Amino acid sequence: MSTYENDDTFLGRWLNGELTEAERMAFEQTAEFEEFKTIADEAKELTVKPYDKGMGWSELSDKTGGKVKRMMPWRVIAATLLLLISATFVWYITGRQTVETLAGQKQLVSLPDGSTALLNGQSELSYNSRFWSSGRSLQLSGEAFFEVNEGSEFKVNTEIGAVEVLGTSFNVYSRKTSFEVYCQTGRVVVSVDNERVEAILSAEEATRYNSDTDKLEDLNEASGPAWQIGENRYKSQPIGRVIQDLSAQFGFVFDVDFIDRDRPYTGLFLHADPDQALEMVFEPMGIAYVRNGNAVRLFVEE
Amino acid sequence: MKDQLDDVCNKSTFRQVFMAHAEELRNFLYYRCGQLQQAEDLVQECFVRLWKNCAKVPVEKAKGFLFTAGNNLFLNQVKHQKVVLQYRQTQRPDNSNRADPQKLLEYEEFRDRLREAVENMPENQRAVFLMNRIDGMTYKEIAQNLDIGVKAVEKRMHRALIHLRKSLKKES
Repeated sequence: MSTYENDDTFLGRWLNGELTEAERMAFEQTAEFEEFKTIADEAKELTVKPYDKGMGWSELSDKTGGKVKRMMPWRVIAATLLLLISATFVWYITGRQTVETLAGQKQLVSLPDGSTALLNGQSELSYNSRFWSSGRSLQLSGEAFFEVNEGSEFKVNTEIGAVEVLGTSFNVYSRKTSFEVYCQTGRVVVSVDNERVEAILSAEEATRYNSDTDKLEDLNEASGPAWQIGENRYKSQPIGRVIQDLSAQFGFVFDVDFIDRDRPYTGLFLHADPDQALEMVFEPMGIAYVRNGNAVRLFVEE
Repeated sequence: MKDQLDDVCNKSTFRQVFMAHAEELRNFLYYRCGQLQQAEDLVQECFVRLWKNCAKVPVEKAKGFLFTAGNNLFLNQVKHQKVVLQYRQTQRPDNSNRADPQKLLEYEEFRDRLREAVENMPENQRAVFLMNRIDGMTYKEIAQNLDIGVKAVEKRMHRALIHLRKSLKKES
């Protein structure tokens, strides 16, 4: 059996009440038991100078004062992320640019990469200047002539169709139901209805979308649009189209109820003088007109 | 609410940890080095370390961290001096020796010799013995704080009692 003399954990176990009943009984019979018990009991009465926790704490507070090394709680991370996303969103939204021209007004728009768009009258061009270099995309209604620097895909979207290029100069005409593209230099891809109908134009080629046949037809208009130099030229185009352009140029509101808008017109009008323009278009066609301010009434001459 | 309580980086939680463990830690360090000022300086150092690592130490691990830090710091301290102890002021009511002046004198003498014997005990027995006797720590707590086994605690307690009895015998 274990005794305090042959087991070096004996007294430790005794003090912790872990002896077996037999061990404890035997130990309590020994002469030394009382001595150990007195030592253990009296030692329990010992104490040290109490620790001044208040003083210790204020001393510690001085040392730990400012250097709080907190791990960022998830709320702060989430809030920061949200703020960043909102800021990016706002930054992107504010990059939206819209240029609009009035009748007869032409405006040159410089795009972020140095490409340009010359806007004809009564036209609207919008684009986002953010992330411009990674995707050049514009929305056009009306007419504009583009000179595109080399770079990523450059895409002009309109109500009816789209024009995609890499680097070139071209004209887009998209008014009401008309959609025409003239490629001056380089090559462009013209498409209608999400690339369902497509045509590729080389330099000095033009195309027009025919909604009746749902096709992009070749246009023999080798000279290209002349509006940039202050005139509009036509070769066998419906008079309705010419009337549309006169409206865009001079802000006229036409009353066309009495004439046939499909009659072909070949000729030109100059942008300089509205009265001269009306005369140049309608006189050869045998169409009479009465102008009252912006309102122009058309009728066939008796 | 929960993450606040679990986080020692929270100043009020840190304060609670200090109030709960500072005295036991200081006593432990004192039992080992025998110098009050040194022990209290070490307490400061341990808590500064805890504060610096607060993000890595959950509240329930704080005590273990403090004692481990104390142990490590203590290894660098060379002087092992005797501790200074005293008896609690409260007298035990069942002290029958008080009636007899002769017995009372012997009793007081015995207590003084016991105190001195404890004060001069070898440091590793002394720390374990006093953590149990003065601070009322269980063997398990002592084992955890010193990073040793419970068996080792039992052995040290055993040796402490043997040592004390021998010391008292020698002097008388």
